[in-house]
Amino acid sequence: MPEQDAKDHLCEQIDTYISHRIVLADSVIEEYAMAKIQNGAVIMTYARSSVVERVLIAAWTRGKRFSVKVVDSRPMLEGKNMLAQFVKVGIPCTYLLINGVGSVIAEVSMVFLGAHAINSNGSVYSRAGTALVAMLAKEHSVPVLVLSETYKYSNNIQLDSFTKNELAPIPDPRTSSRRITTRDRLGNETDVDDDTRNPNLQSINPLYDLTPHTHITVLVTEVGLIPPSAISTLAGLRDKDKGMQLSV
Amino acid sequence: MFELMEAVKDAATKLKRHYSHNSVSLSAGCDVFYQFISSLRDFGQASIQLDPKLPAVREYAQNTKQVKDTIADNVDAFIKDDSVILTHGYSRVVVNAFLLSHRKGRRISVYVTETRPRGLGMRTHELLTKAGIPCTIILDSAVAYAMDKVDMIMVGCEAVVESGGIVNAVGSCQMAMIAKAFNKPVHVLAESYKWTRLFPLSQYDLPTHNDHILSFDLVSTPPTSGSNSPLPGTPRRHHPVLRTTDSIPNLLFAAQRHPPLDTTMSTNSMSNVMPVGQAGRNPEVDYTPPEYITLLFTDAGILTPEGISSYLVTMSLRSESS
Repeated sequence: MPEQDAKDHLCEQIDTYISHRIVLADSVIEEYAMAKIQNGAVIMTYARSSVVERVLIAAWTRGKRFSVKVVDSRPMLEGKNMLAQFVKVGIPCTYLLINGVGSVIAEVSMVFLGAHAINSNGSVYSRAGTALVAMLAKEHSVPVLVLSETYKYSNNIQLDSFTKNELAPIPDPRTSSRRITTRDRLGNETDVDDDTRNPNLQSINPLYDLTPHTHITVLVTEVGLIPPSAISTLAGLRDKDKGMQLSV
Repeated sequence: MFELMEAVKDAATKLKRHYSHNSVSLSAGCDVFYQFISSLRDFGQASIQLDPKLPAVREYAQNTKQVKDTIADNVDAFIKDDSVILTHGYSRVVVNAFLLSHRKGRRISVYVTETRPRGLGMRTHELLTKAGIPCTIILDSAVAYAMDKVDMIMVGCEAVVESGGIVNAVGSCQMAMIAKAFNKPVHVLAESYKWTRLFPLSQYDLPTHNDHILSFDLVSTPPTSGSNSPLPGTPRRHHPVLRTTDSIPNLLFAAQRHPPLDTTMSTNSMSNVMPVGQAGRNPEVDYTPPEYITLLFTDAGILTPEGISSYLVTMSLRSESS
């Protein structure tokens, strides 16, 4: 195959993948997730997920009436962005930091979470703090719905949050929060996150954590609602994609 | 062929509307039949020739009777001699399984719950005692009392849902939860046409649930137009539906065969059966989550709840890709 044709073919495959597995998939997930939202529901979200944002805005636009509790956490405070989108559309929202989740969980009907990756044992790799929210919800019998496209499925098996993670730099340049400062005994003002002063203090800022499958009620994907015990069946979908290989 | 599919769809809709109390299992069965008919599509595009397809269709219908026997054979291996089994309501698969084991010479005794309000437990009792199996009816509220005397729970179901849980006559979830607390196995007998692509997140997410079930009657407050404007922070558990009077016709009592226990006290004010208005606020079926179920006996084999959900998901993935 001539080189240009090969390049065109590859680009075409990439475009198809994006349009099917991401764009169209999001629309289908919207439909499935919206069906689970009942009028009067109180939905809790955590940090920021584009799929969750899409679903809630679409549901509100289509006439469903509910309220949202946006849970956020330092230092990234990503939830603020999602909150801004919700407020713009008119959804009644409550904003809280993660340390307040225990106080409000009793009022919540369901939790919508996003994911960065879905492992084959059903555990969900997502923004740090997700596992906490999911665990609390499960303890209070609140259904936890993880919204994710199937391309995020990985044949990996992960058992804890530590063996595989990413650490963000401190202070995190992506953070949208103001720097928190503290004064020492001499009256010098220093950044709370600045650890160059004290060699005995090391701050870490892990970006992700692992939510075990026992804390998840259902995974909402473009192929339907999948219980965590059956997540490994998505492996069959991945293998189908291998057929999209370039034949030269 | 398209017209045939439409006709099947119309018939299914009419059936579902007519039999409201069996709607979930009926839906599941209709969906499977619809899929079966669409698989016959390959027989010929041009004309809607039903005759060559009729034997296949008849065979499908016959098959569903044999399915119960296949399940009964599988179940028999799990019933030990001198077992005490607790069951709920009336399920033809379960009764069939008990009768088969009894015929094979196993000694079993069965407790069956009354299964109010439809009182279907009485039918099970009738059939089992006629066959010579010792059977006792227990109160729905006596399940915990009896649980220590029981070796296993065996129930049928209206539908098996995607999570691996089941939808069955109300009281099943309770029974399964008590069994779990006492470490008794819960076995569910389910034909494969009862498997459905439903995923209830809770009891109130079932298609059979509506605002009237478990609602309160606040007579003094004027009726509002429902809970359409939620306030943030409103506790989710306190959403009383404001109605002044009940006017929903009550099919439950029409179907109930069980007479009040004490007929001398059956005046309206002293009846020991709940009033008609209250009975309408009660559910007919409930959802038993998969964590309370031990095994499911089906014509496709003996599966765990996780196994069934994997099977259902794989089947739906396969049918979507084809």
